[in-house]
Amino acid sequence: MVVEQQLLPYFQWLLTGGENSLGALPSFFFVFLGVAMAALVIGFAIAASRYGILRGGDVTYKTVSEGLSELLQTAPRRVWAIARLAIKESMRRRVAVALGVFFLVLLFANWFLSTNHQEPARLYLSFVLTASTYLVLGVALLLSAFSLPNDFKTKTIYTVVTKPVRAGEIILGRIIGFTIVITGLLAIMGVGSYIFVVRSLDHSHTVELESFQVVTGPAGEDAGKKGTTSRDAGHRHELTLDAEGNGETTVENGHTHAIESIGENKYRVSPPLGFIRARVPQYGKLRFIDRSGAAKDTGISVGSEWTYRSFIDGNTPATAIWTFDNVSDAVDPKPPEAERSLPLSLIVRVFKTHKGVIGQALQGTIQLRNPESQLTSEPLPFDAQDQQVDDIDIPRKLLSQSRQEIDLFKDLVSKDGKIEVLVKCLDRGQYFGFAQADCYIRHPDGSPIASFAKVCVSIWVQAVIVVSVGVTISTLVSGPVAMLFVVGFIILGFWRQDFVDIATGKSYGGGPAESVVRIATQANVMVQLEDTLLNNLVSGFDKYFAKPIMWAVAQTLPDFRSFSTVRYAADGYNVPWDRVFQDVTVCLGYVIGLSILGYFLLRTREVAK
Amino acid sequence: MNSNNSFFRKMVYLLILMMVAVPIVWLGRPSSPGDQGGKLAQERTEARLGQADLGAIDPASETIRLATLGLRGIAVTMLWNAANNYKKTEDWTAFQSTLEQLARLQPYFVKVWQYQAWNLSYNVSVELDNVRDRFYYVKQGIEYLMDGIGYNRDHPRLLDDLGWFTGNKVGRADEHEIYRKLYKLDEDLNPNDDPTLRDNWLASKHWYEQAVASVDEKGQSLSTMNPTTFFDSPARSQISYAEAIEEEGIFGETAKRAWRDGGRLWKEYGEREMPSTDDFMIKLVDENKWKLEAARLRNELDALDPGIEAKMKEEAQGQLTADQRRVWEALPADPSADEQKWHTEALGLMDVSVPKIAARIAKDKPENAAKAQSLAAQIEDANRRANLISSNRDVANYEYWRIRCDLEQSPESLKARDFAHQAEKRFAEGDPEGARELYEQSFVEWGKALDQFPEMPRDSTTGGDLMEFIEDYAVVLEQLDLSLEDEEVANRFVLWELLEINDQQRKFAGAIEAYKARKAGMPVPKRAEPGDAAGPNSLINPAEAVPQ
Repeated sequence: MVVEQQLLPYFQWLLTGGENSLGALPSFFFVFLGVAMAALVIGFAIAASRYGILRGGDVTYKTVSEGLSELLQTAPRRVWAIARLAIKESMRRRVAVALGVFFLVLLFANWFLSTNHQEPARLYLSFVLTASTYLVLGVALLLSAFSLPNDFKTKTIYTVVTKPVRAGEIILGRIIGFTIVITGLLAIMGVGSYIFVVRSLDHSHTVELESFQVVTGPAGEDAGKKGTTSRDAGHRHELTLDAEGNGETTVENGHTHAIESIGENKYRVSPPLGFIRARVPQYGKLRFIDRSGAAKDTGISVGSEWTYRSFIDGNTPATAIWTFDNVSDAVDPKPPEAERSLPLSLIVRVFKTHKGVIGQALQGTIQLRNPESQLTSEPLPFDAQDQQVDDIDIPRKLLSQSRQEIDLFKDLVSKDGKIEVLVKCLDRGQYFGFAQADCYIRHPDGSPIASFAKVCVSIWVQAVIVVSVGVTISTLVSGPVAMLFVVGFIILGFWRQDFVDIATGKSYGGGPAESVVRIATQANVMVQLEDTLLNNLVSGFDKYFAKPIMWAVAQTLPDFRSFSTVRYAADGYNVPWDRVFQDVTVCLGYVIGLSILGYFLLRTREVAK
Repeated sequence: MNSNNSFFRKMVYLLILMMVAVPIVWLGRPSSPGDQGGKLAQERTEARLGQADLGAIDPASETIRLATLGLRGIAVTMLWNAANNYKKTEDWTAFQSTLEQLARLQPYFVKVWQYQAWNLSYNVSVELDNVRDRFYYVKQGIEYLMDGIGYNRDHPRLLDDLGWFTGNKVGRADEHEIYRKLYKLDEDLNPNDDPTLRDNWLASKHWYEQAVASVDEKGQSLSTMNPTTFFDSPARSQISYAEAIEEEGIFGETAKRAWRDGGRLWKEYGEREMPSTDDFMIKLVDENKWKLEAARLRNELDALDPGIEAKMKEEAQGQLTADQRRVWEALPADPSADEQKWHTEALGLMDVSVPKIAARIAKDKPENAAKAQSLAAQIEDANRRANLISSNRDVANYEYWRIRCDLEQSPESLKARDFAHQAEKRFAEGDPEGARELYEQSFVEWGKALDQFPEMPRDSTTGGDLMEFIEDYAVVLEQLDLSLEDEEVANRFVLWELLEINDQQRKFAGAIEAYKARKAGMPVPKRAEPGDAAGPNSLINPAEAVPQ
């Protein structure tokens, strides 16, 4: 799986952050403070323009102090009452139609999806989860954006505000109510999606008896049979059976089948195995040794536009070295202690400068090294399986380079639980490419259903943020305007990085005003604009006005793309709990911040005073 | 009064509506079985613009296009961007599924099918290391084209591409040995297990024939495709099939039949009437016919005023200045500007062309003027046709392949190839002595075969093929501590003429010199040692270029 950004442990992420980033909590407070100050200044300016500076100051102070005391007096009972109202309102607005649309999409999904593919599970999971995301976000948008404006329009808000309920409770109650509706919808969609994927991928084969060839052992004894299965779901497997008639098939389209003998020339083929997985990787830290033996942070570039991986050259000292922490023989505790191995998974990206021997895989070696004592194991050869996850179990008993027998966990793991994995390419003129996530210690697979549920949580997080934004903005503007605002918020959220790149000048072509000039004059982004007064004015406007505003807005935008964990499920990896907690924490931050903002915005309306 | 007005107005409206309805019905009435429909429906049928005429109507595609609610252009742009991004980030599964969505949004845009099929078969396949994975994406490109043909029935360009992918990508890639085996075993590419389509080259021929039929029978346009290289494709695939089976060790009657079919198709191709770049049709076999016609007409023209050409040349020579005559007779090796000018002037004066002769006859013998002008025009036309055919024959290398098909059917050629194949096998099995003997027998048979076809150019593809055998033979000799420079070996070797012509890399320069010296009774030159500047090891091995 491609992991472009390293996932930090939850508390590190929350408090201290990574190498070049601040902790989430300090970031939240800075942004919160910034927004609060901006709101205070704007509020004071409006009040001062209406009532004069002194009176305006009084009004502002009163609003803030009352607001803070009201927020502290928020009563869960009243919030729940409003939430129930929001749920009833959603039901009245036939939110269940979304479910109908979802099931309609599933009904016709097989028109566009095919099981006759190298990775059908990936295709199906991506499809259903992406469809669920868009549908749920759409429902969240419509529910939240039109709710309060409709109440204002139909005057039903008056029946609410006459009750002893505070403005903050109206906001929070609606957010919670709509969130409950969304949760219900998502739960049904999630279950439906999972059943759809499992049922769509399910198939079986029969064993083709006429394809059998007898396999003989070294002494000429009958060692089993080789053959093929029938062709079903657009593919067939080759199979190998032992002398008792049991065995398994080769991997085709991302799965295998177990075969069991149930009588003479009768076999039972299991349903597909390994379609949906939840691998639990333990990642290490990657560094490189170059061809001259010097230590480097990255390998060499082979000219690929995508710089995710860097490369080591074959038959030179160039090496990729991963350092893993917390290594012990308890990684896979199932086998007896003496038989425990170190389960590694390796993804190699092969780059060739000459054809080599056609049909023959490139060779590499793996060595393990104790980072303290530098004791290193003898190289273990492997065939490079380009762009595939290669599961390699390193046995406990190994030989050192001086051919002494050593114990992997006792001799090669340092006292603080560290071990180094060294990978080399053996073929001259050929290259292996690696990224940090390309080698990991493979813990026993997690539950695919639990992992799937965690993906649904990440969708839920996005929907709750949309609901919060929708409810908050709808306190101030009419329904259609609120909807447009939230659509804009979602679009900017999905392309947040591009937005930030424009704001910080990383993108070519300047800011929004310069863009208009370039479009009008048909000057592409690489063309230097002429040094005219108009162009200077435009650049100045972008530099001193538009870009700072964009930067400030970007600080409050969620990165919707980074919330998506669909890739984990699609690629067969478990969604880490750190990731789930981080997403839920961000969501909570938005709910709190937007509830407070929504409260003050609602207070500006006559009805809520 | 008012109610009457209102009634009258409604009647007028009704009348206008009925009047408008008449042309609408006449124009727009849909067609149905047994009814050609309105004028538009008839025009659509005639121009084959109806969706059903283009190809299959896919409900999924229609649904997707409708579901975009008029934003198809935006959706397509986003999908193209997504596909480019997936390709960049090597996410082949997502890339492929994006292409499928793209195709459903633009099913009748032929360039999409062409471009993305090429992407899959040629660009994505090479990104993978495992040969089976490579073949998987080659096959995906082929299937993508097949889907495209489903939507765009009888489209000659797509059919031609399909023939190319099936033939050349599978049969000419470096991995072609494995690809061809995988192709034969594949159940998706030949779902009905048609034995004639199991071989990739025969399947390629099948698709090319469909492409040709779409032009011949369905009236499809060739568009910008060159007719000379379009119509020769079925024959070329058949020839490639014959070459491929011989490479795989199938000889005898099967190989002979394959070459015979190739020769027949090539002959049919030569006899086909094809559009040319001029305003007339051509047949490649007609080159001689037009040359003879031009000669006959020229004789007729000369007969109108015998000796006129010689007379005109004499007169023209008389008009040359001294300088012009000097440079016309012998242009200096490094002519000055003036000399160049005089030479051009002299050539202009000395050019006694057919129109000039005709004009002179018309002047000298006015009674023959009309006939002379007519003959001159006919001669020019015949020459133009002969020249055009000649250049198109060169484009297709027509003559070479015609002879080659005949040569390969000869018992000597079949035997020669069989011997060479056995030699290769024998060498791989560790029997260099046996391999040497077989190679030598093969060369003897090749000698006999080539003697039967003296018109076969010795520096042609066949020469190149034979050079591969000779190089393999040299390796065998090296194992036996022998070389082509050795007198005994050289005496047994019979293809010296061919070797000399085709040894462009001068790998056998020493052996050739030694052979020539021996033949002329001169002393044999000293043999170049390996590592000499011009020695056999002077080429750089790419793997050696890696710094240590």
